[in-house]
Amino acid sequence: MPHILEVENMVKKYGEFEAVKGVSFDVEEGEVFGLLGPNGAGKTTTISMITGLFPPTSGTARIDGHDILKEPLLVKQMNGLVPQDLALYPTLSARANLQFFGRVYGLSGKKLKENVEDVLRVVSLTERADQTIEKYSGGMKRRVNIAAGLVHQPRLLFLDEPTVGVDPQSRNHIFESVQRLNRERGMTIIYTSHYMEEVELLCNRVAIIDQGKLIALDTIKNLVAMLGGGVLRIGVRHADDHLLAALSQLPSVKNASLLQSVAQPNPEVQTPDLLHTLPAVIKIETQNSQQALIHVINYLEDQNIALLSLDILENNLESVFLHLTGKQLRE
Amino acid sequence: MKILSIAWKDLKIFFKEPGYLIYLIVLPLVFILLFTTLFSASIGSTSDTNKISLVVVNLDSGGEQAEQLLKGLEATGTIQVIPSTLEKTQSDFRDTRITQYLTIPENFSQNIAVGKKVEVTLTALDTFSMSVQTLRMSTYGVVNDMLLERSILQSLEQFAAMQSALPSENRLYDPEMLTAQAKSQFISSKERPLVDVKVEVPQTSKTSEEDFSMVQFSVPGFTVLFAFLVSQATARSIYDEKKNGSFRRLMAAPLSKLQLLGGKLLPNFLVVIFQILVIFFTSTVLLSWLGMDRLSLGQSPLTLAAISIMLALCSTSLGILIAAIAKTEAQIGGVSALFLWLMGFLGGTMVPLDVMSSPMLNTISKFIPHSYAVGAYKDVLTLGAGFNTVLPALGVLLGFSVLFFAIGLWRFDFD
Repeated sequence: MPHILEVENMVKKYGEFEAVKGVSFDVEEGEVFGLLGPNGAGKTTTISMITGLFPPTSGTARIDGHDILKEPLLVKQMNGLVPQDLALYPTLSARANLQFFGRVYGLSGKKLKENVEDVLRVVSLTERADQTIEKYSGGMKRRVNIAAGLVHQPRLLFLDEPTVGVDPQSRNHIFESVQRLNRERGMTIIYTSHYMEEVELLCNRVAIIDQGKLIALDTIKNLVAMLGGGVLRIGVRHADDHLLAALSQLPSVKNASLLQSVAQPNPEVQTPDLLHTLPAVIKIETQNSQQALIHVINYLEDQNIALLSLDILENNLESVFLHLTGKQLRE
Repeated sequence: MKILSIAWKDLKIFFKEPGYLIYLIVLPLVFILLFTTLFSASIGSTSDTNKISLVVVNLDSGGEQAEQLLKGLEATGTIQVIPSTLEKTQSDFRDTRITQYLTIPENFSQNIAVGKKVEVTLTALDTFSMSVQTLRMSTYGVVNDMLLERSILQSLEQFAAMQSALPSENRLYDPEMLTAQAKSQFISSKERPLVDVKVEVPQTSKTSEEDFSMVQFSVPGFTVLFAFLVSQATARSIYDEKKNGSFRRLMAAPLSKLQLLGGKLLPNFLVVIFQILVIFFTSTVLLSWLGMDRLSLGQSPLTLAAISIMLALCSTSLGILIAAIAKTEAQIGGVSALFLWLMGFLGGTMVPLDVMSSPMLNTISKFIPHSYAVGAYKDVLTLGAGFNTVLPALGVLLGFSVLFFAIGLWRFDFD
């Protein structure tokens, strides 16, 4: 598949602070590409540079072979941006908003009218299109926000955290819209999120960004396979090199390491996670988490070490991120 | 086309917001009505509100006939005489603090005494105003009354001279001769009045066929003040776009920075023009329906249009400057208060610059665009000036526009 987007060593500096540190990746035409990372990782800055909101300090990107710095207007015409904020005019109706953004992209007359009706259908808002946005629910506003990025039928759509603050029903609706746009219209979509579930659901390939660096890029299947059999996270009163070495030698265990950075428990996951109160937390990467668990518990019992907490992380992007950074996505 | 799309969208948002309409369209009209009513009332309030104030420059100070004329004017009961010097009066008149004054020439009394024709001059901005007509007729009346006494005395003096020239036996008191002589004297003074009242308008062209009123003073000031206040709305609109993220969305669209800024600034220009049209329409047409004086547009509507366009341009440029300087909502409020209200006051939009007799304030006003716009409007509206007269002011306004735009563009944060 041809690359519709090629990002080359993009850097963005604000004074001494380097927000994006040499990010490079390619996106194939027709794929849904995920940019996954915690808040402040540099995802929005990266897509802001690609979409021409501001120039990179160094590096560049090409969209369909056109350099974003040399042919900015041409490139912008091919892009659609759905920003994280509700970038709409609340006192205007959904239809008036969409007509305006269509005109800004050069649409007029019959074509404008057709495209507006089309995107209203895509986001299921035809019935209420003439109501002012300020009367919409948060989810409906999000849908209009997406429609505004679609109205000119871009080849490449950037969705920047499109589900932030959205109720579950609207979230599902957004997922369906993204899948339909990709499946039925072949639209290439760059989807940024710090929700790994969304990226797992929607994306073919994922780039993981942390602290301005791209730390992994592959299909979800390959990224998860990289970890092997899952991760155990145990809390103990004291951990030293001897204990870590002993755990690493156990059958089905690949490696044991001390987690230096301990997170607040995630209330949504509802794990008995009291890590932040524990003196020591050990991450145990396994080849088979069930078998490894039995060996770990037996060893701790033999050594008379109290197991204060236990967290079994089935392999997913969250554990990939944990593996790569030593912290959780939502920290 | 894209500029027009952005501008049209902003205008739709503007006209959907009642607050902006009240602030920028209704409020100036309210100010004009209040100011006109209050200021008009205050003009005659020095002693008797029913009297017309008349500044008199008496260049025949101490002259018996001049004093008699002044007393006669006061005695009419309709005029309040305010004595003043020629220099101050001319300055006040030039700066439109007074709208008419009477000048009694040097040797007024002496010339009357020797039967030489003299002329008092009533100088007015508008010869057709009711107050000027009243003053002219009253002055004529006083002068005629004054001369009646003089004529009777002259008749009797002539009669006595004729009697004394005759032989003593022929010096007879003849009432018929006395009456005939007096009548002849009256007719002569009527046909060849010794004192004439000349009404003078300082310009070559008349200002207006309409009555002059305080609307002529208040409309220019408040028009300029509120035209510049539109720039606050522009800065606010840009701030709102940045805050809600739609500015980012526009930056991601295939628009040049010039198109984007042009689209954001064009509504400012159009709103100011609309605002001026509403204010002038209301002041020229609707005010008379309310029983108030109406605005006279002077003799050169095209010059008024040129001033309005330049004013709108300057206000628009100031809008981008404020948007560039102020980064938060509070800063927009603060900068606007500083730039718009303070500059408006110092620029003479609320209180005429001449009333602020401080040399320092008058010097400061020279660095404020408001003062040039107000001055140009006043020149056209009250003095009947044409394009050439206001050309320097238009040039200065253009200069301010370029300066504001250049600084605004330089400091504007597109990120």
